[in-house]
Amino acid sequence: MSGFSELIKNFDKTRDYIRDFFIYGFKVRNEFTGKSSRTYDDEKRRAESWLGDIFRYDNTRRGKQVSITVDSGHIAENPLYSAYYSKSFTDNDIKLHFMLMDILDGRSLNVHEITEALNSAYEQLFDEQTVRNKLKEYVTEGIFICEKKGRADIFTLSADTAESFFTEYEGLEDAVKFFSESPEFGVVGNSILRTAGIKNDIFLNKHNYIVHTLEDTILLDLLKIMEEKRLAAITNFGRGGKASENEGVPLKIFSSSQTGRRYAVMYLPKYKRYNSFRLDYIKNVTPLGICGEYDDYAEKLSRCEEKCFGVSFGERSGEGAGGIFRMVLSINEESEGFVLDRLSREKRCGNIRRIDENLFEYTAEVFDVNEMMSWVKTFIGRIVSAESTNKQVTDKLYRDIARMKRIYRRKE
Amino acid sequence: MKLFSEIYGAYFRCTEAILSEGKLSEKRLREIVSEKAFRDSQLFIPEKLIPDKSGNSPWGLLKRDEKGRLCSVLEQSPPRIITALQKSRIKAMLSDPRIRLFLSDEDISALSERLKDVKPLYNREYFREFDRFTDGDDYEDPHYREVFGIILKAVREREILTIELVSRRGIRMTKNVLPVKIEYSRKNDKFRVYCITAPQKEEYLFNICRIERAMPTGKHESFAPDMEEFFSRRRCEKPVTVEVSSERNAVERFMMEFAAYEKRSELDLETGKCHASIYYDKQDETELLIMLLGFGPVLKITGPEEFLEKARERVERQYELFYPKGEDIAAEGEQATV
Repeated sequence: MSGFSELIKNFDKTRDYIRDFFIYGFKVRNEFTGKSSRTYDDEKRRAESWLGDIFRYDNTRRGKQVSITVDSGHIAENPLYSAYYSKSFTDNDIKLHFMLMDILDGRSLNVHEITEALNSAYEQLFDEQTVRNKLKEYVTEGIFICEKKGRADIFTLSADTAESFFTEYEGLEDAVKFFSESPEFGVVGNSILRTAGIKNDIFLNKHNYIVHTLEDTILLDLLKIMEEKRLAAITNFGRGGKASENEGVPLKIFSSSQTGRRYAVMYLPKYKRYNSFRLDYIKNVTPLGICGEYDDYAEKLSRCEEKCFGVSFGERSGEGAGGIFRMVLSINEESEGFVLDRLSREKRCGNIRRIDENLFEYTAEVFDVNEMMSWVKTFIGRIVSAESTNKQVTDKLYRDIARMKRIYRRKE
Repeated sequence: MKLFSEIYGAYFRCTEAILSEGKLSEKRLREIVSEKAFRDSQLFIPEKLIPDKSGNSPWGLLKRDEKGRLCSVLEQSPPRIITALQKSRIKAMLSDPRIRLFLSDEDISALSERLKDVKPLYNREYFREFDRFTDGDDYEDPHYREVFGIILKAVREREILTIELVSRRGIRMTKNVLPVKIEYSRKNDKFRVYCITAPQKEEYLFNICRIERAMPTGKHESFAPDMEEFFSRRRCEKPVTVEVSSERNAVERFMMEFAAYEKRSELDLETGKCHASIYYDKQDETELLIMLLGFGPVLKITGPEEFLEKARERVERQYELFYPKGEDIAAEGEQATV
């Protein structure tokens, strides 16, 4: 127990554990490879302390399995945000946080005056440099404002209080409640609600993939690099858990509303091609130099997007020439209009053509035909024929159907 | 601007709440710790805040008055400042078309002016959502905005509405309902509203885009609907059970793609297969079925029988389309079972 703290300095390690508890709810203690038992126990206890009731233990034949179980469509707040609210700090950090805001509430003072006030009002002795550093940090965070008066820096408290925002703009409170559960930086919206002392009591989110909030620190780093049009080095851990380093130009974030996964799309000069990297596999992002050709790569990517069914740019280098996929679907025009509507709203880069009564052809030219197959299989029961320039893929589709027939064969 | 920072942390928020009370007992302090911080925080926060016999504490933020009560050392309640990061989040919201459902055009202009020197946290053009359905709601439509606004206000104020709508099957209906929650689906890019009728407590789920008129009745309900009960009535009677093989990285894909569903799962180390039970809203049965079939032969639906039969029918129909002469599938050379 000694030395255990609920708070953490570094988000990365904890992120991996929470993700594993959440995604792989069936792992037991000795399956968290590469970590000591002590580390596992501390991380588990910490996560349990943050997440409370949604932490679940099940006794299985293999041992006690730990999981995070939540019906994310019926919750008002993503419970994994708690991980973001666990940063460690020093005694001086918390003292200065509250005392400096108290001193500067309604006053404008220089560093010397503030240091004196800390001593006189709260009997806290700080050296001026420590106070100056904290003031500067809080200017960056937007809590204090610094203005020059002669040669002195004068600090005041920001007037942007939660009350001033929410009373001035009717409806902003509901908007923040809604956006506090959005996939991109919902946690920041949630922190606004917490600042104001309010909770989301109105909105729910269907298809809510809450675990991806844990990637938002990586996302923030990537967006900053994109804003500055830089190259970046990323450390990526793929499926096998093996680390790889890549240098490239991050250009866009592709995200899936159906799985919650997000990908950084980068141009890799070494391979002269675009590639997608899953954000939950990226451990580190390091900004490198400014990329002179950034706008060219971005413009070429926009053209490439027309042939992206999902996130794959296929096997070829550069823009490449992808494969063509064609399938014919049987849809009763009179009674199954809803299937046609579905095809129309889900077709992405494909085209639909009526070829005969109750027969519709879907064609798409894409970088990677294989990537379409999960979606194609959602039309099982209606696919009259399927063909592709990539014959291997459609052969596999036919074989899959034969396998499924055997799997679902009725018992004699 | 840091996202992972102690200034947003549970310990700072909890301390802020304690200091905002001015004077309080140790009991009250511990109650606030239970409410605002983590499960084990009782072991850490009180000892940092409560002064010892000589009046000292590690954080130096509380002292004792003559009656022995704890008092804040601050002159004022801690101010609740919206930080630069939070302002940049609000700025990013302003470029989202859905903001028009909440703020008037005048307020959007005024807020944009107030935040004119703030950089948005992200630009929408940096994102591409490649699989979102294309028939999402029209947030620019004045009629939609008006209906949404009436429903939002009614949820907030628990007001009964008269709602007229045309269902997906073209049936026109009028209902007096209490709207209780608004649900957004990112995949469909649509809003729906969960409603309840007061006397019978029947529940409804309406697509907001199908509502032609929403009229306030002036009648308010004082009861707070039990949402647990509400959702449990919509829940499937038996969970769908599946068996997922380790082939094609299916277990990870399954766990990720079904992360939004409440489920129980267990891995069989001998076979490498994952067995899972998935709980779902009855209305989503078809959506669930096609999602599961999308996994192909690496996932087998094992029950309940009625659900399994629906999968079987589709697969048989598909097999007949691909193999009209009934090819010998046993000769395919691949494992048939998951």
